[in-house]
Amino acid sequence: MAGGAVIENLSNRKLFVIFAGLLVIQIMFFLIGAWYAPSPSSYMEFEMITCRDETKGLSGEWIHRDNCQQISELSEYTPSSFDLREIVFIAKMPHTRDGIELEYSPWFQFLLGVLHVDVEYSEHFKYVAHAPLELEVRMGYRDKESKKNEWKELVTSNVTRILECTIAEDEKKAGGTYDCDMLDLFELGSSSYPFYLINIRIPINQQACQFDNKSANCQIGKLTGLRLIEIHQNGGFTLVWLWTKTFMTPVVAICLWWYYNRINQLARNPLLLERAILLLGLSLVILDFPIEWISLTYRIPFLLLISDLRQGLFYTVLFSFWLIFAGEHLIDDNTRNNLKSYRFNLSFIITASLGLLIYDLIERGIQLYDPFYSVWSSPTGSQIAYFAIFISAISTVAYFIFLFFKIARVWSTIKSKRSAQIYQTSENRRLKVEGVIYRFKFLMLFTLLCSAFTIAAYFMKQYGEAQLHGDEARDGFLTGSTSAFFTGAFGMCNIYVLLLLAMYAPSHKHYRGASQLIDENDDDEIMEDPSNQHTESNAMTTFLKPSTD
Amino acid sequence: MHINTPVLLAIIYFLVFAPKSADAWWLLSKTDTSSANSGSSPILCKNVPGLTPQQKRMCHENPNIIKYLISGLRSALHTCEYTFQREAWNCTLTLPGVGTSPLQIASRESAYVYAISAAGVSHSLARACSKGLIDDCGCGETPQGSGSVAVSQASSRSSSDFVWAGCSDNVKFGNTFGRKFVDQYDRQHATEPRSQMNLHNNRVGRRLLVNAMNKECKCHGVSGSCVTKTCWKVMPKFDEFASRLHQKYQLAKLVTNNDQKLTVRSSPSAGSSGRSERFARNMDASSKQMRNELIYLDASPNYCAIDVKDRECGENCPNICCGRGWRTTREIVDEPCHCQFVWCCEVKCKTCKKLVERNYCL
Repeated sequence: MAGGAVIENLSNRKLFVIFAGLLVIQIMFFLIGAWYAPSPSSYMEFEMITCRDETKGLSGEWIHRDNCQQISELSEYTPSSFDLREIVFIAKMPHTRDGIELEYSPWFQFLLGVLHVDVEYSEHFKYVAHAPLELEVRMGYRDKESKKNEWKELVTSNVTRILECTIAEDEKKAGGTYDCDMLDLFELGSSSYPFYLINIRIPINQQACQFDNKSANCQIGKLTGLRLIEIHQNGGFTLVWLWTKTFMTPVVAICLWWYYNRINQLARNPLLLERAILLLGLSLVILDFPIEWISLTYRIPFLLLISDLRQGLFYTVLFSFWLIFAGEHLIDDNTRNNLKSYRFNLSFIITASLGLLIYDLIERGIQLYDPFYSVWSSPTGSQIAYFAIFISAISTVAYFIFLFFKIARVWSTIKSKRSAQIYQTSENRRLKVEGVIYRFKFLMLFTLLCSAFTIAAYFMKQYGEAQLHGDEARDGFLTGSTSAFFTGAFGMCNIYVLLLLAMYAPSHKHYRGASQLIDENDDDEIMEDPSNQHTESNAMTTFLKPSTD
Repeated sequence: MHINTPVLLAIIYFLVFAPKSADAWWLLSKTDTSSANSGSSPILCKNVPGLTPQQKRMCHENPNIIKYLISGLRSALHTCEYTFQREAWNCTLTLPGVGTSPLQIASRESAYVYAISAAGVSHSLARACSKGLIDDCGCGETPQGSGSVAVSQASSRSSSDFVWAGCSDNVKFGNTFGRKFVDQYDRQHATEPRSQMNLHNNRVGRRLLVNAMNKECKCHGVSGSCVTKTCWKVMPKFDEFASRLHQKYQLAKLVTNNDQKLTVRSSPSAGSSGRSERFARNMDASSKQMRNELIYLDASPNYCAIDVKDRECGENCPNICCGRGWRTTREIVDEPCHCQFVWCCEVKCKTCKKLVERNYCL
């Protein structure tokens, strides 16, 4: 980086004012989340109604509440055939509440369904561990204008999942229940239809079961019911979230533009670190850009995938930036300003992001065509998924180990330079080294501060969630903390990058022509602007004072 | 079952055994819900004597809800019978030998029956809500529903609240409606100790039901991470809840009526000296420690006064038969076996013979 970044030339007072301003903005982000936004997501529970359908679904007719021949108690029902397609589990989403027919709104952004299978212990129909469960699912939708039960086909799918249940020994009696893991049923990347209807059949093939009892639905035990939990993002949260994004995008974009102009005005080519910061700013603009507004009018199911990709991009760039930043501050390392010298460490980040990218593309990508797809449902799929996530986790850990190693090296270099005091001979050179150290320390501290804030907020959120779902206390102090965490973390992220863009931009006070960070051949530039130095104490000098004394 | 017989029966029960109308609404459990399907539930409400005017009005206005209320009440009493089948009192609400309905005595059995009925009603209503069978179920409280105007132009509050912050409470509706209907009589007589006891036990039943709910969570952050997580509460199976309540029944506290307030003598621990006896305090029944405890006013009647002849007593014969001895018979019963692979229902199985031993009181 150029010999003078903005940060080095800021007075104490200015720095303090900037920090105080940012702190206020940060607190505002938290407060918006805590007070104004509702919790990020909510759920609705659907205990599926069991109906009888003599046509076994061949007629293609939708079974809904109004034409349902309800089976009140499944265990007392005598089916007329053995493939059990005549039993249909239905749920209309969402429920009617307070006598008003509720509607799903595009504000919900996504809609996902989790299925709970209630299995009862039975001597005759035994559940066997890892039993494959196959569901014939039909999902229909209805527009606001269409008639009450005029359902249109959205998707028909054969869903296979592995049913994992456990039971305590003393529950193994008639009426005892298994404790089953919930199953991911569907995930819709947009929720633009107001009503959905789900029909589920659980067919059974007697021949296949006799031939091979590992066939689908032969070992699932005695089902007493299906429960569907639907989860969506709250409209209120989407609104707050979108507005914060809409508000932040131009701010970051302007700042980025200013930064870009600054480095363009330099007489030399931009340094690697400057380009890294530019890229970081760019990825933040991409992350912030409120593309979701479109989803409120148009149906774009791939938005969920895009927002995942944007987040992935941002974190990849951020991690790379940290690495480059630490590397560029190794004062005596002469391999600096060259991306190639980082390729070993960068490869960890690339591997980690690629692993997650592949996983996300498979899971979310296929869900665009079949919302009922889950990569975890097939053994091969889950192996691939596990592999991708495992590789990513390993790479991330390796990355952080190398990053900390690098930071430790920078620290030790700084220390040795200080103690040797070798740069004291040349005033100009000393100041340059001090500048490097100061920049490094500043970012280190600021990064630590931000991560500490984020971690604290995360625990606050966890605590708040525990409080919310505790036995009695419903309105605890931290119940709005989940949204506060998200808006707060978002604000933190933005402030962090904004501050980087502003503080680490080349200062054009003195150094427009500066070429390289620490030239071995010292030039004779004078660092201090006399007027500045004498009127206000420089932030850098006070910051470094304790260690230089 | 004919439609009229149970109603008739109900009236007879009422006239003979329940001269006080406090527990009249129980008679709903004897009515036939199948008649409610055909829209004749207003008649059903009229036919149960002793309902307060408000109860009658609620019954008349919400026939669909009453249907599930009745089925909840019925399953509560059924569960009660199942739970107590091996005890001296087998949850019968009519005791010929005692000469009065056990509910008339403010015993711990009454306490249990009130609690389980209140909870059964809530449970059944909540389930009907989550099945989408009752359109009047509430949205639940939305903690931060204040700024909801901006999101949706929907004129109705409930709809925009739903868009703003979701709608997820089923139990609350069950509890609220149950409280309005079930507690109706006792709330009007809230000064009487017996009504206070009933109200308390009803509340305990509902609260225990809410506390017995399990929490489940789903993580749905980026790539399925737990950064975003949604949790919900799952209603326990009613049997599960009933066994919890049975423990409370065994620990039920005797209270005394002090100046229109029910107080419990905080019992010093067993085997304590007279010294600690002196410090035994009177505790208000509405205090925090008592919020989850069943309370009763009178000792239980002697259930051995009942004719227990030919009652099946299982493993607990000395107790149930009250020392009158029992006989063991061996019977051959038919049991289904070698059934088809099916996941739910009653299907054709082969019949196997099995020898079982059964005990009956003499």
